[in-house]
Amino acid sequence: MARAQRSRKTTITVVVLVLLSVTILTANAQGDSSANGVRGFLHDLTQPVVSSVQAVFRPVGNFFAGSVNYGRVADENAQLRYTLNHLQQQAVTNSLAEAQLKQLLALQHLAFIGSTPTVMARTIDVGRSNFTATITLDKGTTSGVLVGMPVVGSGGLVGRVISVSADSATVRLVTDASSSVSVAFPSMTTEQAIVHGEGPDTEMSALYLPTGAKVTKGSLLLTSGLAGGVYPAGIPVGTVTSASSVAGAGAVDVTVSPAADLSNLGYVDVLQWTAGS
Amino acid sequence: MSPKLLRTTAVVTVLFLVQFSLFDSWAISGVHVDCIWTLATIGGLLGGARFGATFGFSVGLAMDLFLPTPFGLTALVCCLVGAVVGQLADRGLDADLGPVVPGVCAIAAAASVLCYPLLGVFIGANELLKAPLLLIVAVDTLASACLALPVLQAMRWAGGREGFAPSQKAPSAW
Repeated sequence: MARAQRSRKTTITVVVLVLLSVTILTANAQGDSSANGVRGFLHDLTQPVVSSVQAVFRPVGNFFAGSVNYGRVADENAQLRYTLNHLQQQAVTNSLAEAQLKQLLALQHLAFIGSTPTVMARTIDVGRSNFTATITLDKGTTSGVLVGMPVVGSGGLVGRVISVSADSATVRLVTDASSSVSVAFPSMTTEQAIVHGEGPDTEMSALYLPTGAKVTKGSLLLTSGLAGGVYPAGIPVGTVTSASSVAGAGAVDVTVSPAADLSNLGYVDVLQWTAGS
Repeated sequence: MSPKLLRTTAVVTVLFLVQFSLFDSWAISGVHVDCIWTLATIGGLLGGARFGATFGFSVGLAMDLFLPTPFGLTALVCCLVGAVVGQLADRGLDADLGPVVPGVCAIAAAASVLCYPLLGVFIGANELLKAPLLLIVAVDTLASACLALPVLQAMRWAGGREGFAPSQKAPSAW
């Protein structure tokens, strides 16, 4: 009898907790942002302790990471040496390319980015969840960072601020599966596409481009800056790494490698630009 | 606040700090260890289904406050894991059998990782399915097996002499 009663209590408890979880999930999904405020407050509260412990244990972590990734690091080192030699040979021709780039940037009305105020921020946390691609910055509302501001660095678009507290901000990277960026091709005036993130450490994709779009490997994609868009025009988003025709659809799918080196985001710039500004 | 609750809070706090300070920065191909599944599983093993569900929900909700994923999703998964493992414990699965605990933790971690994006789909978070699931399952399964015994010991210390099991007057302490 007592056992049956206890079993019934257990079932009721589990059902109530599951319903409570579902209620919280749906309330949050429908735009209740109270959780974000608590998240930001707790992040500010725990960050000093977390940073201190990280500083102490980082060498240990680096040791293990180095052991696990030794082969990859060695390959990367060889690749970097090759790239360095290659770049040195190209140094002369780069001056010409630089002049062309300046012209191109002027054509893309990039100049205004130079006048957009920026906030330099340090990356203090990378990817707390295995299911999302995010970073955390050490600047928040007290430094003028707001939700929705674009983040650039390491050669291109990094992502967009999705939540902010007084002294920190969370940025959704362009590779996150829920990220989408409207892009234009600098070599063409009319073609535009949406580049979607495909998850952490995975190349992005742009689907169903018209076959008329002359997309080739290495094509640079810039933010289009469409009216009502969430990014200003002219920020490098990525380069096309492959393009394939969709059978029967008269379209082309492309994969895009991020312009920014997302594995090396020590410092980034937050553009103090919001949609409509 | 009872001493048992204080000790349990201390154990959970230390594990969270270890997670944020160490595990989050030791990533293999971008995937890091999650200790939350181990915590929920051990809660179920030591306290049975009712305590496991409550404990899993509580630690999951606390973890949700630090994650960029949908708020409440970790709480839901941990609640279910705690309840299911607790049900097994109620039916005789003994946490004293050393090799059983890492095995149960590993299986529970794999199930949790797979459940996470699947439940996320129900609230429209389809992007969670694009995560490298197999790699996350591999890392979390292995890590959960390794963490099982230390977490078990820590939680046993937190439970004190009374423990968390329902037959030992534990509910009154909460």
